[in-house]
Amino acid sequence: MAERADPILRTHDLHRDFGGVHALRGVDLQVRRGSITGLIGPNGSGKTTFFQVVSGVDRGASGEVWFDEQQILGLKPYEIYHRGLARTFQLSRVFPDLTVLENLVVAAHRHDAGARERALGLLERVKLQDYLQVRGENLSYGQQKLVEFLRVLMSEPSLILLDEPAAGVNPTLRQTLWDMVRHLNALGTTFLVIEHNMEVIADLCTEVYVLSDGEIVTHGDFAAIRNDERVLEAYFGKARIPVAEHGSDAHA
Amino acid sequence: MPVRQILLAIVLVGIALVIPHFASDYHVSFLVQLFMMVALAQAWNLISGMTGYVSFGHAAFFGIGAYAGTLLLQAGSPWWLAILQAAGIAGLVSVPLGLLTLRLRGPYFAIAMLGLNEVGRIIATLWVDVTRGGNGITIEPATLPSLASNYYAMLLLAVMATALTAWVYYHRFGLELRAIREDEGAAEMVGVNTTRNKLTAFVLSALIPGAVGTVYAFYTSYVNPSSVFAPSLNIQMIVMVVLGGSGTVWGPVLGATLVTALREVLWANFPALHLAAVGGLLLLCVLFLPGGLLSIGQMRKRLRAELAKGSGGG
Amino acid sequence: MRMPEPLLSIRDLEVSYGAVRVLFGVSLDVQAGEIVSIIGPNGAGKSTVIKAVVGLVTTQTGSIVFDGQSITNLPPHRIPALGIGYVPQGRIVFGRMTVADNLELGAFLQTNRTRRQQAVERVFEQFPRLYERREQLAGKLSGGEQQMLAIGRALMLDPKLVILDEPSLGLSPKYVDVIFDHLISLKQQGRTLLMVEQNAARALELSDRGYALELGRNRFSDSGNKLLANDDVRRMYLGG
Repeated sequence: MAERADPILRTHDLHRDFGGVHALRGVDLQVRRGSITGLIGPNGSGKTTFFQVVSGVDRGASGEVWFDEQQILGLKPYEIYHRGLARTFQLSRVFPDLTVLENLVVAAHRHDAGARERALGLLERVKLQDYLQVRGENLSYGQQKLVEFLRVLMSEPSLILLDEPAAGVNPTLRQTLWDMVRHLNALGTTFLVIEHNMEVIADLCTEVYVLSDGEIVTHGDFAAIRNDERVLEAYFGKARIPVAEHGSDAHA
Repeated sequence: MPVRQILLAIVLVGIALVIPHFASDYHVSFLVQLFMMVALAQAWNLISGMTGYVSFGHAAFFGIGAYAGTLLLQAGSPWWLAILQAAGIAGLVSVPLGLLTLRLRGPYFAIAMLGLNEVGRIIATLWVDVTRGGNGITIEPATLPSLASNYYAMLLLAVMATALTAWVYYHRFGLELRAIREDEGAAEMVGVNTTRNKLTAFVLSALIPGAVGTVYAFYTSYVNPSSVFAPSLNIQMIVMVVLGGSGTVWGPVLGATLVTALREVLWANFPALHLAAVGGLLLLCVLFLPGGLLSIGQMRKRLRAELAKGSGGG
Repeated sequence: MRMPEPLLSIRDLEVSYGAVRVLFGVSLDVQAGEIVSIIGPNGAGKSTVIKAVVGLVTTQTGSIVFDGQSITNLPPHRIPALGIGYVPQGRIVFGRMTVADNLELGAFLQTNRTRRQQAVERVFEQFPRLYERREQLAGKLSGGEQQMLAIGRALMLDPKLVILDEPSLGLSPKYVDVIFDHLISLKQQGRTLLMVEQNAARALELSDRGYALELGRNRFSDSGNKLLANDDVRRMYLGG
């Protein structure tokens, strides 16, 4: 897991305004090549919007997004995908009527024999090789999440955005996923992970960015930032001076 | 494509090729209509069954083809050229139309297409100088192809439409279309150029009815707005594919055969019942057999596989 | 002094979504006239507790007692008649209907037209802003106004207990103040409030008591102020 100095993803002054709601207010973020970087922050802080913008789904943002030293802001999602930036979703979006094999092959750059082999290889790694011809909708939720994860691996991306990979997933499956993430990372794939589960962040990520109210509050090693007052405040909220009149206990 | 299916296709086409030699005109006419329905069903299947953009107005391209072909024939084109040219015109027109309508989702797309069909019908009715309006155009028999020629033309179109569907289905393009149908957003996210794919499917699905419409016009030697921009044709296209098996290669063939046969039977004895019967079939299908008749075979296969897995000690 | 029976009493609540267990035995009490907040990090199960009370999710084991009556697994449509007003997460209003119509819908159980009118007027008194906008389409209101409308609708049947799921979510800081001031006013009217809030600090400020949940279990419970000052509670959000 050798981290290189140059960032594989760099955003500069990223702004996204939804008619009055400032979801992103000048986000500056760098993901180091070869790292597993975390992106945390309370609900509504703009994490999902950030992913939507970087992956090309949301094309209404202003600012700069550099992937591999190429500007990608404004490109369509499929173009960004073919350049090597892939993304998973919080809720599984496996294609229900397509078989597992078809689900994987459609995501490859070229739908050839090589793609089928790669699909089979990936399925064997997670012991799902018997499910080649099973339709997506007939898989259990955990299996769907796995297949969706494998799907983005089909194009061998250099950067993968993981959107709450632990959500709704049992501990055994989670372990399988983390093993794959670490293995891929060791081979050079960079990950940017959104997660609410702090154990996951602590376990996997070498560096963490904290987003609150559309801005990066701080970033660094998770152990360091978790004691940062600003981060605590981002999650817990900022209290005003309590007003005595509504009859609560005397302030200690 | 599975060898068995190719062999079946060859056998069917082989039989179809020789039929005119010993069948009556009545039977040949029936088959002309059957081949027409197969071709139309496959066209609808391409954009609606496989891509998931359900069109309620594909007769629009049938009508455009019928009029274009007729006018070209009258302008001097040989009948076979007129068919190609009319298809080309339908295809050309479908490009800007597709760019507009394919931005719409589900029900809105369906209704937009319905609207287009109506627009076509109205233009044909009002543009009297060119189309003779509601009176329609009666074509000079001298320039028309014979019944046999019409028969082979329709057969060719049905075969080409089915072959196109099969090719699409078993290749990358078909997989991408089906992914778009399943979840367009997710498809985009795994590298599928949804805009280009949708538009291509749309144009292909317009070319076929364009050609078919022309042959139909030649076959009936008469064209008028309500007969070619026909709402009932829209409905039949939907029913045939849904009944047979939407999104498959043979489903539309099966559905077209059933609907055409049903029509023949009812037309003779209970003409008024025809649309009601077709509508009823659609209802039953949607409620109880959404995968169409072809899915019965799939269900049996799956059941057998399940039973085998269970006893094998999963 | 004997503690009066709580207005709402939840004991050992266990809830699962399919095969995924979300609550592992949560208990809490809400006394009449109190404001109680449920706080905790994402995934703690806060919203699930609320949804179990109003019947939107199935309770596997445990009991929920309201006003002396067991309401465990009561279907949601029976809840309003008991005197519970529910304000779901996300400012759910009927966008294509006017403010006034939205409110009327909140009282459809009230068959007496006069009483319905009175209820609408009461809500307008509480939220003058809504009165100003009564003929506007709900979809055109600002986030804060929509939240007021959602609360107003829940008030239409004059509930004893108002349950709110993340009332401050997505609101600008100014509107959070406005909404929270209204909540205090509701308490002064004698209503009881139970709320799930993401903005823990602000919620605890105005709450009499709070419950902090973590991973589907009770972790801390105390008065609002004491929880606010508790370092462990704050660290709960960032692990260990």
